[in-house]
Amino acid sequence: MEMFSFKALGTEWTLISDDQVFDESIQKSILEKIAFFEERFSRFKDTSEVNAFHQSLSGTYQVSDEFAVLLSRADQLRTLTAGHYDPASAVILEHMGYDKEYGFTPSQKALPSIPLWSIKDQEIQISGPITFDLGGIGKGYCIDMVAGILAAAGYEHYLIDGGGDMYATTKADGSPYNIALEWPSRPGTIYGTVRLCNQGLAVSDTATRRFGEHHHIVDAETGANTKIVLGSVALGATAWDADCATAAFMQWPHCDQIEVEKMLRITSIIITQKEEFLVGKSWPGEIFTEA
Amino acid sequence: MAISKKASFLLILLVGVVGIIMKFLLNPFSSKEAAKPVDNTEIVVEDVPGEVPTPIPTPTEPAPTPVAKVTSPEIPAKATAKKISLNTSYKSPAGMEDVGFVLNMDASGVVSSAEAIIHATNRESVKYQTSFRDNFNAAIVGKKLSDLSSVDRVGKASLTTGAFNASLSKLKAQI
Repeated sequence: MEMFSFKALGTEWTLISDDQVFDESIQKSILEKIAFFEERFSRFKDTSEVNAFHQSLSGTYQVSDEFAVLLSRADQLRTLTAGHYDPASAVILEHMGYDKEYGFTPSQKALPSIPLWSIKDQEIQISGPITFDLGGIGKGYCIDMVAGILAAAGYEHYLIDGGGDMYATTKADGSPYNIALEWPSRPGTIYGTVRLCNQGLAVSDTATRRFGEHHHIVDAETGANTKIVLGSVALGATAWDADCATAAFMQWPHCDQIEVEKMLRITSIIITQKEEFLVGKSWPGEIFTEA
Repeated sequence: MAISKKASFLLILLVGVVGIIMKFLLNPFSSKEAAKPVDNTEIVVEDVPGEVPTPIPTPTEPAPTPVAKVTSPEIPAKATAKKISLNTSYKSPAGMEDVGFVLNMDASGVVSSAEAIIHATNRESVKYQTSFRDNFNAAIVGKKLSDLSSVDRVGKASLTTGAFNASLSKLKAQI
């Protein structure tokens, strides 16, 4: 078994290969691609595409192919969640102090309104200055991108762990990768396991990135942090589908779990702040229960 | 004239039969017989081989038939764990509805997983069964990672590194 670990997109990544070594060439290729992705789509990078319109006037603008793909999916999620998920809520996170300087000092000014936007093909229409936060869906997309690099290079049996979200094919003997699921807010405590076999897994919670009274997930409809959902897990055909599902679950306090499962073809678990586990009926993993 | 009388008789008969059918369809539980409690609970206990299986995935859409019996894998001679499937009915405002449960128990009798299966077709019933199913997993317990074997990775919300935690530490130091 070969392993390759590195830091990217603000978290620890580990790649496991069960057939080929991670030589210098593939390592370089992966690191460059992720760095390029981060340069283009991190709101913490001044020159990124998601920051390109932070001083723009109302109007219609052209965006790149890839940015259009990401924004189109974000637009679908926004519709699905009746506006509770909105990447334009970056303005609220910045107001709370989760800005690119990591100031963590809430603004004393009035809560800003979230700018309006729409996307059609590669044209984006905005109501004024706007910054997008693709944090909820970008990592899953990036994990699939790394999977694409590995597959193109001939790797067949591998797992990509992007800080707890992942994608895996199978081990060399054809068996699945066994993944333990960590209880939100209880590091080291596991509530179940699930097997990954050519599937993506996304995990999100409101307990991890906290600063003061706030965390990093905002309900765009209220402009406040979500208080009902503690965490969620999704299992899908790709890491991106799974990541998009957890983004919807986390930002949408009274979400229709079945609708999200149907739209993104995923199975899921939602954990409420009261630590109730809402297990999707197609969830294939094991959940530890009392005797 | 005789034909006309026969036609009238058949028409009255037809109206009567249709009326009875419509009355039943619109209010199926108005008769004493239909109002009796129905106990058609069906429990199936099956031995399953070695490792405890995960719950059987069910279709995303509600099952179109009222009772979908749960099937299990072939049963070998040295079975230890058990799968208990149960289908039952209850009366809802929309009529009789069916619901199923599957419990997987290991060899020592510990329930390793439990699942409620929605069979309802009525929209409201699906909503209530969904809510029930969601709360069915009441007794979920945590285990230490060190107690688990054969785990390849841990799925968890990503911990940011570097700048985020460093800035947070500095902020806390100033308080």
